[in-house]
Amino acid sequence: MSKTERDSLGPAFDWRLRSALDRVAPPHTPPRYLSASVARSAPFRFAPAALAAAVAGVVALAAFATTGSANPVVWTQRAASSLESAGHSPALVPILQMSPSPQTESPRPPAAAPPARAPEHEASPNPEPSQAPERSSSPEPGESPGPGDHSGTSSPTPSSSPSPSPHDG
Amino acid sequence: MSASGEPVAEAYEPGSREDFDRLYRAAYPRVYRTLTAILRDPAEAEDCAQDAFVQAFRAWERWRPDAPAEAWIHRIAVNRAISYRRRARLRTVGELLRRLGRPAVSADPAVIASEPDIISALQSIPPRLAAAIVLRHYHGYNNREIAAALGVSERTVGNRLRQASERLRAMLDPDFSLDRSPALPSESYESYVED
Repeated sequence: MSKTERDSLGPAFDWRLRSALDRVAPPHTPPRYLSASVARSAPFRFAPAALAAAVAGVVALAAFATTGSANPVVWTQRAASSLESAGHSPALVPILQMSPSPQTESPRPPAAAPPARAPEHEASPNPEPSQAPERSSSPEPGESPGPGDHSGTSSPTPSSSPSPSPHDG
Repeated sequence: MSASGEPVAEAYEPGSREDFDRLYRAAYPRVYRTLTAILRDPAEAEDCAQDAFVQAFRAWERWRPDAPAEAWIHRIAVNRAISYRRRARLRTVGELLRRLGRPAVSADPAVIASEPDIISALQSIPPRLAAAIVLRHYHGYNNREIAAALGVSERTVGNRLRQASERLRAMLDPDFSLDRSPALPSESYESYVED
């Protein structure tokens, strides 16, 4: 260090400045950067929980805005009805109707449907004895021609010409 | 080598936690004393020094050892102190406006009695000038090291040292017998810078 650097204020100034600052004792506090390095990773620790809470909040707000109700049961009912009206596969409907609340189950009738409609689409659980033999005796496509029919024109529609008597041809 | 005999530039590895701990132990007292000469409150000096080390720790992996690590820390700390004093001055202006018409509040006599005059003089000049004076006359930095510490050119360092010496001489001349060398302070600082 050259002498010209120091001769502006003189050695008295250097001596006084050094003696004054040497008396200053830094406080014995723990380094702040130690806690800062820990605190920097703290937000990432709670990121999954915050993300889940945010997603749940968005879903709840969307459901509230759609249904106009704060009741989650109403949201479930609305979702089920909208899916039914959209014409999704019927297999989904019973799944969506499985609501934990008894309100959805109580107004609905039991699984046993009204007897008037049941025979049209599926086998009746308790068919009458008189109707059962009639349905079973309805002519099957392969059974309609009689054993003596050798005309060679086997009709695929047995209902049009049942021909119960083999002596007609 | 600094004025206190400690090496200014040591071998530190960027990103090494152990090296930063070592840098903190070596540089924190010196940075704190620098800030004490700039700021008026020891608590403010401690706060700025700690914040400077926090900022330096976050950038420690990007530190390039082309300049002394202590000068780098000083640069962060002095910049923080300048911002701190600027905000404090704004608060003071607001406080003066609020106290307009009331009697002026005098400083604490205990603080005045315990504080050396040279520190008070340094605290009363702009922090950029005070930092240059402390780095030169207490830490023993040369102009290049002060330029690295303050982030300015060596010519600017010479100008700041000249301005600071003129202000300090005006304030401290009645109390201290400063040298009156034939060469003016500005000439001596700037001649060194020009070389």
